Amino acid sequence: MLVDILTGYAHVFQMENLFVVVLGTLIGVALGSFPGLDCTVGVALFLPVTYAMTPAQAILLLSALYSGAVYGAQIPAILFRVPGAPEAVVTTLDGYPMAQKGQAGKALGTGLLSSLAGGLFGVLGLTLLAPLLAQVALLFGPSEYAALGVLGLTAIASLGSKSQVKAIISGLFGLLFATVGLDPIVGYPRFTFDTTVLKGGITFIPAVIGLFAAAEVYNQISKGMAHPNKSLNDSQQPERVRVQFPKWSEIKPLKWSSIRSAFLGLGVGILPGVGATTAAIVGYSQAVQFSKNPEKFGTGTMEGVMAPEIANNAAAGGAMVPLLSLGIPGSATTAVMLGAFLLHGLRPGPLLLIQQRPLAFTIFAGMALSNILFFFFGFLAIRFFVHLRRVPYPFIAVGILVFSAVGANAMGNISGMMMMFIFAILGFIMEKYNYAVAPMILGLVLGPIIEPMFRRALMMYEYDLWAVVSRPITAGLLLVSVIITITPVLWKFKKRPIVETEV
Amino acid sequence: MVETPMRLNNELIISGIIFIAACLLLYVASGFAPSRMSDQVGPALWPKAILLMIMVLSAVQLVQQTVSAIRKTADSTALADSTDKTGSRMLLLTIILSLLYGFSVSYVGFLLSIFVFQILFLLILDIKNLKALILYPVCLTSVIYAIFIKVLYIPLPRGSGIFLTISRIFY
Repeated sequence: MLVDILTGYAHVFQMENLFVVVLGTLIGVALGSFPGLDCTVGVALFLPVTYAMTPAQAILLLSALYSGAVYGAQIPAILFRVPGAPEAVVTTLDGYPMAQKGQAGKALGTGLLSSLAGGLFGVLGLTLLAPLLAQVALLFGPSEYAALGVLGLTAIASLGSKSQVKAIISGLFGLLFATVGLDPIVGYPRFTFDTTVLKGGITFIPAVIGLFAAAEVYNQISKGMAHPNKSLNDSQQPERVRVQFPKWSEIKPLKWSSIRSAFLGLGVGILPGVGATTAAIVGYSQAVQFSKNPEKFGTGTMEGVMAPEIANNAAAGGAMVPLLSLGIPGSATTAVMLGAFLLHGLRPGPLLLIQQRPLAFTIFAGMALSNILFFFFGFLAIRFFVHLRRVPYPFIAVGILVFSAVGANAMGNISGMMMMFIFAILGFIMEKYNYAVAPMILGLVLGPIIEPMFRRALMMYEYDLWAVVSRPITAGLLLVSVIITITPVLWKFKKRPIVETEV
Repeated sequence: MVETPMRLNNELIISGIIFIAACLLLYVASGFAPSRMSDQVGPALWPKAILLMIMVLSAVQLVQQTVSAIRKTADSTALADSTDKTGSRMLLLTIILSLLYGFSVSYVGFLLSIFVFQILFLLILDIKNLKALILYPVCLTSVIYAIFIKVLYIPLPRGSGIFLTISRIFY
């Protein structure tokens, strides 16, 4: 194994390969920072560029681009509440409030460090545990996936900072929106109202861009922020956002939360079809559930940036595990990468790890190097975006709306753009009346996992509900969901008499 | 945020809209294909369950907000809503412009419509400097043209008629 690892690094440090990794990371960070251009789009767009490359260089370029893009998405998410990609949606919840409190540098430093830690952990997991973890993932059937979705949903109530009922309503609407289009089992059109546009369902990317990015522009305009003399740093001290890494004393209390996020991120990333966005949600959710001060989440806590960033970067490495060891893509991005392998005459799977072992370990090494590189490129990207904060807000607003429109259009067609604007208006109204937007996103992501998986599980077990929920892993996941839902309520009951006595 | 009577009324309206929308959608969902032997759950069960939960929760909200509204009505000295008046006007115009842009892009084409959209948007946001009004949209449109059309080959809408001819000059 050690020889394989060293061979991988030796290959990566060859001049041509090194150049490709540097280029891939740089492009990845840049693409990740653009709203609407997530890593899947980035990898797909650069797939034709790899035609002239060797298979190793092609996969190195795309995997470096993937790592860079997962990191890059957090920069605009923290500075402008505009997640560069869905993976960074959860980072906006605490990253942006931190920036508003004048702690943008600290949020960016925390995000950068967390991404590095999560990314390296993901690659370590990919390198060392790939065969073992792939076997665990093989045990997952529809009921386990449905239970995993339920586990993700437990975060909904925690995400509503002002009203839990409103947060649940928002999450339920997310689940409802996810049902629009053709039914995943029998293909029956639901809530399409005989329109072709809705038959394809509500596209996730335009909805996310609308709810977060464009809605924020409307929100700022309504507050009178769009004055020609106002910029995003008006409310703060003279703007000098310097990347500020958290001190050891600040990281130390968060070590268990970080370790949990890393393992959860890696685990979720390995599961085929789940991906970094769910990993970030699960990472954030566990941080909220285990925190002594869950009410502080959403108001700008360091832990709220750290947990999702560690999880989603670890998931990027995790998602490569089933691709390389089983030939099954772990996420949308790795599905596109599967195409790149096939394009270059390679077939990912157990045979790849046996017959093309040096190539597999070169990819592992390339991803590790890419994670280290984006740590440095991150400074450049952050510098660029910090300068943007000094620009009068109307120009930023126009820029965000224009890029949102292009991003929504790039993901589909004109209907995507229209959908984005409709979700922007919806997001603005929700924000105004304290209906948290994040639970809706959670519902939109998890709905397409829970419903079809649950129905498939029921079909498999001849509609015996007990047989479905009593499968060991399913039962375990559901039990964890119940525990993390009930624990905060029990804590409240436990604490209440003490408070009353003090009063 | 201060719960002014106006805000409470709006909250009530929002909850009412959610409740009515859930009822209507539940009616729509009741028309979905029934379950079959091969799929005993059917396409309707999941959305119906979600809608029922939304109905219950929005009804709870309606009751809570009605009680609050009755209590607060007497307090006429409550602070006014903090929304900026100029901001509201700008917001309304921005939303109308966004929707108009969304509708027109397929006819006018992406490049031309995005350029005009930027100028109009900046005018709505009170930018009066002529240089900025022209240079900024030119720069941003060029950046988008270079990245999305020339480098990434994203098929952005070209429009129709005369606009299609203009778009074809560029992409």
